[in-house]
Amino acid sequence: MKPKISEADFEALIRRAGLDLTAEQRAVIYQGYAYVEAMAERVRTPRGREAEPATIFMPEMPT
Amino acid sequence: MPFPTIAEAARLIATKEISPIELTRHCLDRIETLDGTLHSFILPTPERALADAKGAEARVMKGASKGPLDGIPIAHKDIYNTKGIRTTAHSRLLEHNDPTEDATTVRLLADAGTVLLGKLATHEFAFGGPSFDLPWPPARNPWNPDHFTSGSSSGTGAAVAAGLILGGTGSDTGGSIRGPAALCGIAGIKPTYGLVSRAGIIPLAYSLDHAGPMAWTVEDCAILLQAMAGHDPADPASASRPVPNFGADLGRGVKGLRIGVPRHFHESDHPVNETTRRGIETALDTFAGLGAEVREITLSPMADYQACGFLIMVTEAYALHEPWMKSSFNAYGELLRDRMAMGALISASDHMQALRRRRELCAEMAAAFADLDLIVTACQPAEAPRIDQVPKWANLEKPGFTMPFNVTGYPALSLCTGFGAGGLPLAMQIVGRPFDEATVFRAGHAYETAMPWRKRRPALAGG
Repeated sequence: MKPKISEADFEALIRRAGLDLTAEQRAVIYQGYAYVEAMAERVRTPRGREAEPATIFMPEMPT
Repeated sequence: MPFPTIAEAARLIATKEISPIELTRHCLDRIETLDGTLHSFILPTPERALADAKGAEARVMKGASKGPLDGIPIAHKDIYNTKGIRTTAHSRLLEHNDPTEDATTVRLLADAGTVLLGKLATHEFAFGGPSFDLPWPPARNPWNPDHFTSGSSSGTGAAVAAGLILGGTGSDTGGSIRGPAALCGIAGIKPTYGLVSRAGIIPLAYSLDHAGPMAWTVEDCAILLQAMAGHDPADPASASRPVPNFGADLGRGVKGLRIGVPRHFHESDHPVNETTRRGIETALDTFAGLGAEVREITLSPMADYQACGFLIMVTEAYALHEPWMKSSFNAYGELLRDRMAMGALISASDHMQALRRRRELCAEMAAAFADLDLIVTACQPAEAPRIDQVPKWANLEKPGFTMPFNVTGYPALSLCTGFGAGGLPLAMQIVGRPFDEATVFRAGHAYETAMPWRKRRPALAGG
């Protein structure tokens, strides 16, 4: 499985994250990034703007 | 007395047929004999264990026992802080970490009278593994030491199965209690999110982390969970509600319970091997024969749960590890650092979409449980693979059976459904409604007592 992101764009992502990697380390993580791309596409499904994230909560009222 | 369960040992201690000191020495001898092969312990604590055992014995002799865990030898996954006892997370980065306080659960189990045998191997920071480039080797599967334990509560799985400890603690962010319970052939429960305090346990991902027990039987898990559960103001996610008696309904059977089976999870989303599938179907037939109503259900594809859970997990984990990832990348093991780096590369927008998807999946699970008491599905796709053949991206290549219940927070139990062609254990999951661990235990116990699997232990361990 090959990532959709180009190697140059991936390098830019790594640089922006501030990770200091060897070329070999970068190449290995690049291969694994393909799975993350696929997962991100899965959660980008269309949903209404009112669809709230799971972190929204109802504070309990004191009884 | 090679393999007493907690329940059996408690009865023997109560009737003074065995003393806590004898039982502790028995476990220490087994650790000495077997752990050179299994590597389940990072740090045995024999002096502490014998001191704990003497205290328990004195209480028993005075007729002042603290209950079923008084004098029972256990050990903790090495991400549970133990006051004055090194707690490493199996990582070079915490090689000299001596906590000044016990985790809440460590204190609760000590208060119940348990005997602390030591600290157990884990995957590094409960995430990377099996790793061979850390200061301690990975734990080995006692059914065949060439094979994987799964993780991350790898030491607990191996030590319980081999009878080095009677029970122990684990943590579960995407399946780290249930995976090793399955591949090592024991029982392990990820309780409902909020039931057991996480305070003092080195976190991996705050909104997905669960603490829970692992033991040889479902009954023993119920006994351990009874001591571990309860509200803790030190854990912001801790639920403030009374703890039920998990053992009260253990013998009630499954008659009348409604069980849903999302067969697409293990037949098409991530097909399991034939012996695993047969084990699940036999269990469902057993439940039906005992009077449960079994029916098929459909949930979202398991890959949706996996994507949602992994994106949240790795971003939360990276936020915690970012300073070390930037300053000390090579101090981590290769597996951990390569997997963890993904958390630096996920956009805030994708993280938020995962959180929005999580809400939808939680609503879906609640709707499915509107007319169900339990869900049954697979836990692992097959027997344990060889430990040297676990791919780096194993947790990304195919969706895991355990992650849906971390995403939604529902209680999920792994238990043994027999053995495969290679002689290694197979397993299934039983999932319950939030805070209804009692029904999960009830079904698990009914299955265990109907089947012969608890009579067999690893040959390496003398079984």
